[in-house]
Amino acid sequence: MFWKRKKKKEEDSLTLSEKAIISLLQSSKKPLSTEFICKKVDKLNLGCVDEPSHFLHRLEKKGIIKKEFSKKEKSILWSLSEKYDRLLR
Amino acid sequence: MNIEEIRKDFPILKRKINGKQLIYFDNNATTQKPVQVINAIKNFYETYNANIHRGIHTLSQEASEMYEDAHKKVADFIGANDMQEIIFVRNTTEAINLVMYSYAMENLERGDEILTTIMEHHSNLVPWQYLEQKKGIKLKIADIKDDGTLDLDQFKQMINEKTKIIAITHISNVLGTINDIKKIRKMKKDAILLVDGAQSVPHMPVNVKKMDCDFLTFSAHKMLGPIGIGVLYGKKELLEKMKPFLYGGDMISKVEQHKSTFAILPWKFEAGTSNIVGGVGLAAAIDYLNKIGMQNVRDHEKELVKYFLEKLEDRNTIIYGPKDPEIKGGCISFNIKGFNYHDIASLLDKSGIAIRSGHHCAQPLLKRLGTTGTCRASFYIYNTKEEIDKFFDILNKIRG
Repeated sequence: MFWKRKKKKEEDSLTLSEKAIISLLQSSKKPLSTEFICKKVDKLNLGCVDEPSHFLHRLEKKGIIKKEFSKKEKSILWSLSEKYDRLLR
Repeated sequence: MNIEEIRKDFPILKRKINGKQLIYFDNNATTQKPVQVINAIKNFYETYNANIHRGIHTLSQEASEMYEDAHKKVADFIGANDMQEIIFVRNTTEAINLVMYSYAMENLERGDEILTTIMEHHSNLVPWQYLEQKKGIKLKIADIKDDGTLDLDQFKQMINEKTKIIAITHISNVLGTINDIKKIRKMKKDAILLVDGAQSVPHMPVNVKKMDCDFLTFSAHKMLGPIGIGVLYGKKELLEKMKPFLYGGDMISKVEQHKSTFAILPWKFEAGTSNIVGGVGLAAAIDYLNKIGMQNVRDHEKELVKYFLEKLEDRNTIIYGPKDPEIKGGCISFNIKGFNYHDIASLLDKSGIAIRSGHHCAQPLLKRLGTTGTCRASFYIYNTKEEIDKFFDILNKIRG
């Protein structure tokens, strides 16, 4: 019950862009790059083209998503944090 | 100019970000505040706080005087005739909107032309787009050359007898290009010349009489002052003829049931309770900059830009804008091939380094440059070569 309430509370405080990012990461089987996420979210026309990147970092601060730099791909790769993944399940 | 002494005045520079000493290279977006400005704001609220104008009591008299003095200080700082030519607004964007609504909307007719450039911040483009759609004004946009400087030949060719307003940035917030305003003024003496000084007034000596501009706009927060207050300079004879921008309290002379007359300048354009403490903070910022000297500010930034560019050049790095510090303000835009600009900013932030990434509110320019965004490092009086060295320690690790 507590987890459900916590998940609902967290979801209610999210912006449309943040929800779009989470949904992208949920449906992906592998971590996604900043470039990929920004392009996908920008297509939804929810705001300025720079906003998705801002929201990625905000979601990271909230502990909902995590990032890792891949030297091979020259990119930061984003995925849902274990904590949030648990909440979703 | 003693940078170590200057740095002591900025409490935020002691802050650690992600366990590392903050290196703040995002000064084109906003600058940090010295204790002198912070204390002026604190002191106002602790000692002088009152609403201005028409108050009989001591506090109101003192606050009014402080707010008026702030206008005088700004006038002196940019070489205006007097405080009647200085209007306090919220920011540069609002200042340009004021000119668009109160001057251009009233005086321009269908077929008249406004000439601007591809290197403008959205604040000096979107208001004119609105006018184009609303009144059938033709908006012409001059291009840049491949080196990021304005194509002056093309610019000149775009001027004709229909050109009523030239709206141009003094320094590009992306490329750093310094536009030669005097040269532009000579090309067309009878058009209204609006100069967006958001990136020049904080960084170099600017004199409205020498430039012979009709309007100059800038923001306090980009020059050590508080957020939420900006300046519109306008020639007095123009401002006097213009209709008010906002209507209501404090901007009137007499009010009857169905008509009103308006206050003298600058109050005609400052409706409602003003950002009094913002004015006080801006005055303190000007005092601080005057003590350093604006030419010293410019020389310091030139040196940092030269040093930074020498280290930045690399076959995998694209640098946007001129590379000659003589014609470049204190900002450098770049991309590292193969990397996303937001990722670079994010990786630098991990080491306590603040730069900006993205379109910098200049999307048409970025499109012209063939990208959707860049990384941008921009400097101010408290930045040092040692900070640039630390920056490159991290950047070089990233770019491999």
